[in-house]
Amino acid sequence: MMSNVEGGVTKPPAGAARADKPRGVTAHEAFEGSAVFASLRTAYDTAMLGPRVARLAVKPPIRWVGDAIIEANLNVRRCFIPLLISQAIWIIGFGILNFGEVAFTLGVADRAPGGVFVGFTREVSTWITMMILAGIAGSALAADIGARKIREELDAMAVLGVDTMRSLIVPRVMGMVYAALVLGLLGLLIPIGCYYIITPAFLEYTPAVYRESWYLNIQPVDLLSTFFKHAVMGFFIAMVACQRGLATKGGAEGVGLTVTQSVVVSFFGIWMFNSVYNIGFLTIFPDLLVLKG
Amino acid sequence: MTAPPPPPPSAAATADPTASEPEQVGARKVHSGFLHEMGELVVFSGQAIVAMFGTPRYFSEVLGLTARIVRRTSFLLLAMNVFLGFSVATFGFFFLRTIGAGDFVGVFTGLLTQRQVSMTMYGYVLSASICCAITAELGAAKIQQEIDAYESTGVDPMQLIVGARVLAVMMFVPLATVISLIGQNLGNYLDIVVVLGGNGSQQFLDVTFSVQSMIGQIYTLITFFFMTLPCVLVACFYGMRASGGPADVGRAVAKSLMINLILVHVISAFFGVFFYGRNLNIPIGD
Repeated sequence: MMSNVEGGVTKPPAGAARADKPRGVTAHEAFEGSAVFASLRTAYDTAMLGPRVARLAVKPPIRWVGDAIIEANLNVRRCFIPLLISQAIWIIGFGILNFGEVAFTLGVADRAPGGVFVGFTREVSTWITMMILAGIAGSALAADIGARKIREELDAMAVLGVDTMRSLIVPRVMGMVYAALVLGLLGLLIPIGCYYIITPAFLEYTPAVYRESWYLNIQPVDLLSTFFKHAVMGFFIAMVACQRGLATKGGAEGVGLTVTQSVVVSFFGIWMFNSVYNIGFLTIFPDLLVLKG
Repeated sequence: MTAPPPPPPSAAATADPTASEPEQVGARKVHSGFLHEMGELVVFSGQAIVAMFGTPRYFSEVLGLTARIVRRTSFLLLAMNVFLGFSVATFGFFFLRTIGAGDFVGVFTGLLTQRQVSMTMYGYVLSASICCAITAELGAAKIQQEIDAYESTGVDPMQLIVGARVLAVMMFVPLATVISLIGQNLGNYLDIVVVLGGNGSQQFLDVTFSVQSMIGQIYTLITFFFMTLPCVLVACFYGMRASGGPADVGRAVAKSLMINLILVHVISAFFGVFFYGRNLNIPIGD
């Protein structure tokens, strides 16, 4: 698909696509470019890669801890400013101005912070944080591994006797999981901070009302579930990025295709997991959404 | 990753530092000159918009690109919107049921569909699927000096390549709006009526379409248009700016995606406030 598109660039536009078709783009490759096939294929490969990484991570010569912390630090620093801007602008635009206005009209503005917190814990914060993580850290990881693969660095490491799975893949996967947890926590604090700074002046309540509402509505089960969800999604993002990176073929277009596919598959998988998980979780714990106060 | 074919190790080891050295320097320079880069982006956007007026002479190219985008993105957009509809409906249903208003979950989903979440989801799909692909192909073409070849043959790449892509994605926007809204409502319906069994079909449809208005759909369309233009321009900018080797193409894609994700959130929130800020357009309290 990509090389077909790219062929459109190389040739003059008149009849370019038809003349280009027989050259190297088989039906299999064209289907491989589609999102459906990519997600299915990645699901299979991730199913093969995931347990392998998990087993290597707990098998005795554990040397990934230091590298994983460095990787997590890099990911958090890369993602923090975009996360701050995105979360802040979302909570100000939708959480405060739109939803706050609706709540004020209904006369329940003192209940709004609890509702916003519950909504952000369970849904919005997870979307935005995971989109930012997959879009920035995941794509950078896929580009890194794909470029190493293209430049045959991985083969060189194998020749030198270095286990690439242990030295390269496992620290990055664990670093991504760790970064997902840290960013998930930050992603809960940023909207609360913005809400606490802006809303009391906007809707004319005292700040104590908001603090009270949050004390009542923060629940351990909810937070644990959010952390579990973030960890699973971070693992998934890293799996997809590593698998796509290790499967990179070709030159510059290959790396670009790797990054694009890894991002699309990560986004798709995150949404699928999130919606299905929430249905199951809320069916098991239906009382969590009772607004207290 | 055990790779059977061993290349000469000395060659790989000596080639590697020389290959990675200039990239490091380049990345550092780019990082320090962020404002400079943003200035270049603005200049590029202006040039692209001016050049876009000459693009209609390549209309067949635009149509071809649009067809490819429609084929590649439509199903993804529909599926992601169905999942988003699932998430929104699940949250709204359980949230409202605890205060005894589970029958009115349609109000929640109907309001959120048009005002907030559909544009955000379109932005995610746009930046991930369409814009990443544009950056990747333009970056690869730039590195292989295909774009310079255009210039040497007298074709303006701003018209043929950048302008055609911007117009092609613009032509996809109305269809994307329809797909997004259908996907959202489909996801809401499936979740509430079929999976959770919370509301009857007729009741849910009555409530949810009583709060969705025609003008809201037009606002959604306008938001989509204004979200598409900067995102595609950013993607084209980083693609046309790529230099170096294959690793730089990957880096350009990652960077354009970062800028695009910020833009998506900012633009969707801005238009949400711009259209619905203090004017709720809900039949309560007025």
